[in-house]
Parts: sequence; structure tokens; C-alpha cells
Amino acid sequence: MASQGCAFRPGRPVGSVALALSVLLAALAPRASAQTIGAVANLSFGSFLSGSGGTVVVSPAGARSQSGGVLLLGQGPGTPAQLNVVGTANATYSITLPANNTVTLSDGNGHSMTVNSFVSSPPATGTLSAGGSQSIRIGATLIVGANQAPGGYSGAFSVIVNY
Amino acid sequence: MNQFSRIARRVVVVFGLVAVSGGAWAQSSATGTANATATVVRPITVSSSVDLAFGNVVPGGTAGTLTLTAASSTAATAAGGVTQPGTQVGTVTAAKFDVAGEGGLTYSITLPASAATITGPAAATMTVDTFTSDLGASGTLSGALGAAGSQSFYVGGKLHVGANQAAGNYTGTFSVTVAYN
Repeated sequence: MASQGCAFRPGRPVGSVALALSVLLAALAPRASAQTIGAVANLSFGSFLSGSGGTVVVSPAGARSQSGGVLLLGQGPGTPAQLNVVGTANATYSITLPANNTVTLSDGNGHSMTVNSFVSSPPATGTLSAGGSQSIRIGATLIVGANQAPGGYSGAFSVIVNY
Repeated sequence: MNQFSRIARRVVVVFGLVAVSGGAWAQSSATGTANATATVVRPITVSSSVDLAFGNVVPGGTAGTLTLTAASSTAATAAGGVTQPGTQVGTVTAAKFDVAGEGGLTYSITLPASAATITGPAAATMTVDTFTSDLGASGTLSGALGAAGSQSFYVGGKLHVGANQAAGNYTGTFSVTVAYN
């Protein structure tokens, strides 16, 4: 039974393993691998007076603006977050930013502010360089309450890249 | 038996490759985390704790001035027809202003650009001008960002006394403005 059902000859096993390996490598070749994404700069909304409340917006390019009663201070400018993506050369990938009302900054004393409207540059889709890397800059909108409690606020947010 | 074991080995090898392949396909996303920060600063306030007081001055037949330096121990300089009455100069102080706000931040100080008028008996007036601050045009609140800070500064000025200025008490007000830079 065993000898009759066997289609392989004793002298061929090495050949079939090699074939399987080449098929596997062909399948993997167009796929990106060994991706990493790491933060090299944090998102900072800088220093401001809350006044009657409003928003502080930091663009991916680093421009800061406000709305409502918020007063921005020149001596505490904002900066966009910067994350470096590393992977396969020339690979394209999608960027998923945090949804609204999922990221909050806290002062550790029971006060918080929400960060919404994350935007990135490049937006939505990126392409790694020939060297296999790309820098993503991220901005967002901070919601500031009226007479928001003074203090330093911080929080974390995650960015997902999909290949 | 020998052939069967070779078949079995090939099957294992193929399944092993599939498993590795599946593992590689699962590595299609990566997550990076960054921090976000913001600093809500305390409003800046300024209040007067000591008045600008020129004390007692004696007018003369010609106009004159009395100038006070901006310091906790102010120095008075009389000029023209004005003199101070010996040791009975009364209370002579530079104005003191107390600023409170966010630690470590700098702010601008704006003094009156024009003369302030002080009024005495029978609508007689004198003027005060040439206001000066011991900090100049800007200050820095004590402490560091994230905590309350404070600073005080002194303001001096120049009182203009007319010839034969009417005797009496003269009072008036002037304002200074502070603002975060």
C-alpha cells in the first residue's frame, strides 16, 4: 500500500524541497517585511491661556493656530509629532490615525483635554524611500475647556501602518 | 518502510514552510506610539502694593521737579525751584507692583506713555511723567513652567511742580500693564 501510493522516487526529495522554497520566496518578495515605526518627536500644543475655551491646532508642518478664547503664547510654540517608518524599499503602506474622542491629555490632577482630528503628512498612504524609510509628521486639534485648569497635560497616542 | 519515511519527511517540510509563510504574512502592520503634551498657563495678574509717593515738597518762585528712582529704597532728586523740607520729607516711595502668573514665563511691562495728572485743593493740578521701571520693559516670573510664579517691580517718576504751586494734598492714579510675551 505504501509503496504503491508513493509517487516520489528516492532520489528526488532534495529537488522538491528546493522547489517549495523558491515558491515561498516568490510569494514573499513583493511583501514588505521587518517594518518598524518609532516616534522621534512628540506632539506638543505648546503653552497657551485657556480663557473662555476653544481649540489649539498644530498642523503636520508645525503651524499652530487657535479658535475661541484661547490665547497662544509665543514663548511656548507647538510642534508636530514625527514618527519614522522603516521597512522594505519603495513599499507603500496605509496610515491609521487615532479616531476622535479616543485620545486625552491629563494633568494628573483629575483634569483632561481631548485630542481630535489627527492629520498626517503624508496623508492616508505613504511610500518608503529607496532606502526603506519615511518620516511621518502628525498634527491634531486640542479641545480646551473654559478656564481649563492650569498645568502640564500629557498623554499618548498610537499610529498604525499597514503594508 | 524506507520510502514511507521519506514521504512523511517531505510532508513535514512542506507544512513547515507553510507555517513560516503564514507567519511572514501576519507581519503586515506596525504600531508606533508618541506622546502629546500641552501646557495651560495661569493667567497673569498685576496689583499695586505700594503707591508712588513724592512726600512733602516745597514749591518755589519757579517751577521745578522731583524725580524718584524705581527702587525699593528710592532716591529723590529735586531740581529747579523745588526743594524737600530737610528731614521732614514724609513718605517717599517708588510704586511697587506684584505680578503673578505661570512660572518661568517672560512678560512685558508697559508704563504710562503720557503724563498722569494729580489733583489737589481747588482743582489745582500737577503732573507726573517719565515713568521708569527697575525691570525695564520686561520681566520673568519666578519658578518653572507648570507651577505658579511671581515677581515684583518698582516704578519711579518725575513730579512737575509749578511756580508757587498751591499747598495741599495731591492725588491721582496711573496704570501699568503686563502681558505674556
